[in-house]
Amino acid sequence: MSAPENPLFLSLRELGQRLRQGTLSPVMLAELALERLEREGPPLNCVVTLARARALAEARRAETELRKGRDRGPLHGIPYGAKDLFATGGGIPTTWGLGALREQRFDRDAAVLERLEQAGAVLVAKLAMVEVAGGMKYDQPDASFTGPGVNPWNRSAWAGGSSSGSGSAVAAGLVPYALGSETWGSIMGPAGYCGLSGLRPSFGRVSRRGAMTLSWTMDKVGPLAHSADDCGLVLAAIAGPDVEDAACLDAAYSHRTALPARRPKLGVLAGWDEGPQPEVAANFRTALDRLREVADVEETRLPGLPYTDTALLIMYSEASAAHGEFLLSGANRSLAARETHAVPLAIREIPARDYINALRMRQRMHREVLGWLADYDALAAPTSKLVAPPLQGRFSDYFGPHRRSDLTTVGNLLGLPALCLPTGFGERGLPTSMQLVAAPLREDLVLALGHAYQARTEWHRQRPPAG
Amino acid sequence: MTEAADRSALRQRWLAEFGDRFSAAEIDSALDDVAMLRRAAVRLASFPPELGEMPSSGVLPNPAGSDQ
Repeated sequence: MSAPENPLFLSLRELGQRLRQGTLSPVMLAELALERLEREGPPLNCVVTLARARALAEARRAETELRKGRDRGPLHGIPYGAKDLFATGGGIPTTWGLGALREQRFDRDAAVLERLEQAGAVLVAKLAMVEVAGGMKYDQPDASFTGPGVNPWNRSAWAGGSSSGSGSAVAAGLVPYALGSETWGSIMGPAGYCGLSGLRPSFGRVSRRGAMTLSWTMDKVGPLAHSADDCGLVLAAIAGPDVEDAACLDAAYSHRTALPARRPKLGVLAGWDEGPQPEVAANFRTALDRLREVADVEETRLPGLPYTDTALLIMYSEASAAHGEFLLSGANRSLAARETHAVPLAIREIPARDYINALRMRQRMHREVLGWLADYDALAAPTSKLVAPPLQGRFSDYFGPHRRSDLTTVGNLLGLPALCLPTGFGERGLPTSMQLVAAPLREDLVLALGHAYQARTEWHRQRPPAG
Repeated sequence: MTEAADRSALRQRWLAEFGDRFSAAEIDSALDDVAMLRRAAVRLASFPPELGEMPSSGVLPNPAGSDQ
């Protein structure tokens, strides 16, 4: 006899259907998620705070509304988790991954949580993250007061960061989806390492109000889920203007899965095959074969500009302004990653002219890269050339020069939307993945391509071994 | 000043200002990070901006270009 199905692995559309048929209920789902988070969360180091009272109240409300025919849409009655960088009212702490902020409380939810509440979603837990969203140059997985994020596919491997708990909780079937954030790889990383679909929306598509700032000009908010379709449904609920985030655009998102009428053109970044693990390379080639069934694929080359240097100067300048004085006041001693204790000292020394010149370089990149990108509907490359690193050891030793791909860096600098998709498995039984990147505000293209890819593959339906 | 002199001066300033909060090894590690960031700025300066190039705030240059 096969093991009973865990409904938290179902797609959002399947869950919605069962909730409306009455074969599942919001309270039943919330209780199941809370029970699994409580039992399975600690060995994965993925939970910071269970929102039990709030979850059950929201689930009961959703149950009543659905019974009365008040339907708030595809997320109504479905539980989710949120990275502990999003403010929560109601006395639920928001720690930003820092032991020094265990008792930090806000009087109001972050904008994305308010949007999800309006959509009838049920917040069940605040999920673990790398301290200060990884903005202090950590070099190994043990960089949060909750411990290193553990990968459900291989418990001696890292879950990725900084949205570590969001990745491992979704992959382990503790919640159907979770919110993460990305400044420079923090959704793509855990989604790829944990075998998930993860969406980094365009800069300005989703309000950051109430989300911890790492970099005002690079932070983005998005979902980690089991499929491109799930990511699109969540994006439709959280996107849209917000006068309280000055960078937020008047750009709501209406989710559809259909490809454009004309055949899309996909650019594959030259150099992707320099240095990947053999399985990463083989799985990416196979993934491109599947994409060729719906798109023209050709090799292309990024304009040669100093992406990493520009991103370093912008991110650290802004992180210093946001957190430097607080950390130098003594909070740096609560950073779990000892190698980061003195980083706040270093980044306060970036001269204003270097920051301004990096911003000017980004303007040039906008012009040159977006002009080049206009020839393609999307770009593709492996999300990471290596599968998730082991829990022990330094990233600098494991990755060498390959920690972040150029596509991850340029996408984050320029605010381009990206979708991470699982492509198979590699070393130590760990997932491999690719990312699709499109022009600003073209999430529709990466989501439609991702949906077409997942209609032809089963990787997004694979589940890790039970803990 | 030379890079080495810069480093030495910064080290002295940090030891005076933060010596009670950071060990000498931590200060040396931070000095390595300063050098890394300066090298990044130097590399970036090898791509001189056009006269009049404005800084980018990160906000998308042409949101109206989307069909969304």
